[in-house]
Amino acid sequence: MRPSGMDQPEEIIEKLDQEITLQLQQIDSNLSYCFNTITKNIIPKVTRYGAICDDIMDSGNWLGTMFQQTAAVDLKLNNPLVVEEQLDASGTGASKGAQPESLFPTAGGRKLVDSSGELAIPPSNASMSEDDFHTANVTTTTTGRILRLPSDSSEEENDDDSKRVAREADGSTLQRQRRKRKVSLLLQREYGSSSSMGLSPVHVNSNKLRNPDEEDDSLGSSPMKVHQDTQDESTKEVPVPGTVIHFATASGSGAGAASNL
Amino acid sequence: MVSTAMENPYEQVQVNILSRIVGNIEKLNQSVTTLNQELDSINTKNRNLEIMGQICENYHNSIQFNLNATGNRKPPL
Repeated sequence: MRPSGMDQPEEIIEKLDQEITLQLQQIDSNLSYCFNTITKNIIPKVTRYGAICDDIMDSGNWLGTMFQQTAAVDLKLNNPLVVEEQLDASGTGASKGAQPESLFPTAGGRKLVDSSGELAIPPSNASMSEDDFHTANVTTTTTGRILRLPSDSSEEENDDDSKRVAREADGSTLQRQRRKRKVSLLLQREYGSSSSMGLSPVHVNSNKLRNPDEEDDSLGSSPMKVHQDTQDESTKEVPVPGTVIHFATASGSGAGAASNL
Repeated sequence: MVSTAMENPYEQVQVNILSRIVGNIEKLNQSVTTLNQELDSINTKNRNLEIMGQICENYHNSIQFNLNATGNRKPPL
């Protein structure tokens, strides 16, 4: 029994050490697996979801402007407390009593700097303080997209001359974003590859069809307009020269944006 | 002394593994912080979307109420 008693503690210690090393290796492998899954799977999907949410906000932003301008109300979506007050003041509130408290527990002092969320329009001064609004948007955006587009100011002035009242304050950020997308799409189509038209046909054709229309329809986020574009896709797929002409107009802005990029 | 001499290689291996674990945890922490930032921005966007949904729902409710009150409400097609 003694040799076994002599052997047992050392064996036990060895076994314990081996088990400890094994457990540590397992922990290490688990951590590396976790890191890989987070970096390779979760974060790209979350970023895609964020991009989709951006698209949704861009497409639904006209609803905000519509409600604001119909109600003649300065509805700050950035500040949830103001929204709560507005909703309570509107008096139709079926579901507002409990929701805003639960929805916005911490966001009282936080300001959203997302460009899609900026619906703060002073309704009376919308046409007057438009440039100030532009600059405010430009300075407050963190994404940097809007900051890169000072060259579109000429385009913007042309568009501002084109008397669209409904989008005058709020549509500017949308226009800039959409213009950026258009510019990137056109750059891809012109310089990247003439053969690979791998972009989504709705976007491409919307670009193809909006550029002729003095880019005035850049707020065209309504489903009707998209539908029209998709309808026109089948019919106007053939006439390439028109698109070439409009590429020439858009390539100036594209070159300007490229120089800025 | 014999036991410590016996334990030493295991200790080295374990220390190596622990240092690797520490490095892994640092990387993991960075990725989790980036993920948290992404989720935070998404939360803000979704909050705006929810506000828009609430506005639309209230608009729907008020329209239904007005149609009922004026008797102009018609059954769905």
